[in-house]
Amino acid sequence: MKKILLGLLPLLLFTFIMPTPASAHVLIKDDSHMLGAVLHVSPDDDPIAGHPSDLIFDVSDSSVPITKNNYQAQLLVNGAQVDASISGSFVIARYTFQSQGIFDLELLLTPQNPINPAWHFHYVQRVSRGITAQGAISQSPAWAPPLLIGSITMLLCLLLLALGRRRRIAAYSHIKK
Amino acid sequence: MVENRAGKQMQPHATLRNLCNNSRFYVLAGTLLIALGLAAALRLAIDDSQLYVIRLEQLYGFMAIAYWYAALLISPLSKLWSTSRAMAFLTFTRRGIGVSAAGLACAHLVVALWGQLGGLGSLGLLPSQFIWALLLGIFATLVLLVMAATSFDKVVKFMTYRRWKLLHRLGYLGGIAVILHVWLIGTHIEYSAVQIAAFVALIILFGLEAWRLAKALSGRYSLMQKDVLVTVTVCIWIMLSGALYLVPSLIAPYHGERRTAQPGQPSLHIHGGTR
Repeated sequence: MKKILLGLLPLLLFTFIMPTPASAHVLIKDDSHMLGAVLHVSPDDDPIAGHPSDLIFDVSDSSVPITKNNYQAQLLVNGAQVDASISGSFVIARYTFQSQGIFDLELLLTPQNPINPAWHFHYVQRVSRGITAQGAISQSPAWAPPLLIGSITMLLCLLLLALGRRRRIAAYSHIKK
Repeated sequence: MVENRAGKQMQPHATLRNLCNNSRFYVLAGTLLIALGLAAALRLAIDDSQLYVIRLEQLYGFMAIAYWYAALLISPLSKLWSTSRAMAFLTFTRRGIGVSAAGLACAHLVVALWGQLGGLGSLGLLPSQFIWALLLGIFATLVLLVMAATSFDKVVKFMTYRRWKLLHRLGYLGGIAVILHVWLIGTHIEYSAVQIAAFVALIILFGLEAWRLAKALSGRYSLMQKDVLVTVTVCIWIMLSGALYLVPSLIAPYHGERRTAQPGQPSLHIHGGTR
């Protein structure tokens, strides 16, 4: 048994230590609000300045399928063009944000055939990890600190109330049962 | 009037008067305060509004699952230790945990639909697999809401206990919907460690439920021998665990599809999944 456990230990350690970045999903709409794209930004939708991020747009079904035969993809980050390619319904690009800050992402899908519609997506991506830019400021909303303090205080009061009444609470649960 | 251990008189039916003696009240109020406090703490930690909404949605989703799991776990455990006072207390408190799970699931749904995806109108703009996963999540939330709405003594009395119990069996269907919802679009289920933790947690729950089911079946068919009980338990456990183990090979997660979208292109996330 011990041998089996010792054999499994490296496997478990490897599994837990191995970095596996995930990404969530943000729905962005094109300018005409007719087409949607789910945007994934690695890692964890919270890119790190100075480290490469994968920008993946999963474009939803449209009357004319978004494939590399039908469309050409162009991705602009703060106006500068970034290499992007279409694979299935995905538009994929890899980009390294140089520093923390706010970046404008623009995705242009130009049809090969002019009778098909062109699509234009716009999204503002904030980068708040990694290399710090000069003059970068972070603002926290005014409601957050009082709400945090208020909820902690009330939670403590609730805890004290429960501790003071612990016998009555236990008794009540037995009566009701 | 009933006398409690402290020697004071209590009225079991005067619910409002005894609110501060009711453990369910503490669970509900505590959950609300924790949810609000965490929302504020998260806002202070994250500058970006969009990222904040994503993290809040994930947090409430995780909390809803944790509460639901706890509520589901108490049921078979109470059968295992039926004489324990602590178990009796937890069984009483379970209703509060379940209602909290429903509230958190609602918060998760609201943040996801209106915060992250931009409202119901945006559903049509989502990829089809995403929509299916969302519908499963909505179904699970509705199940939790129905269970929460019928979790009052008066409703139980009105419906009769048998019908009420039957209605609350919907919880198992809701549980399946949650597993599929998380597997399909859950973000952190991509992590191997999370997959292992979820698998172990479900295996434990399945084991306990299998034992409970086997005991109920043995009781019904007068097969109370220990060896029969153990065999039936193990069979049900293996069947449930096998079904869970098959989920990844039968249903491709949304993120997995995205990962394998483009061979030869910018290397997307490659995981050593624990399927």
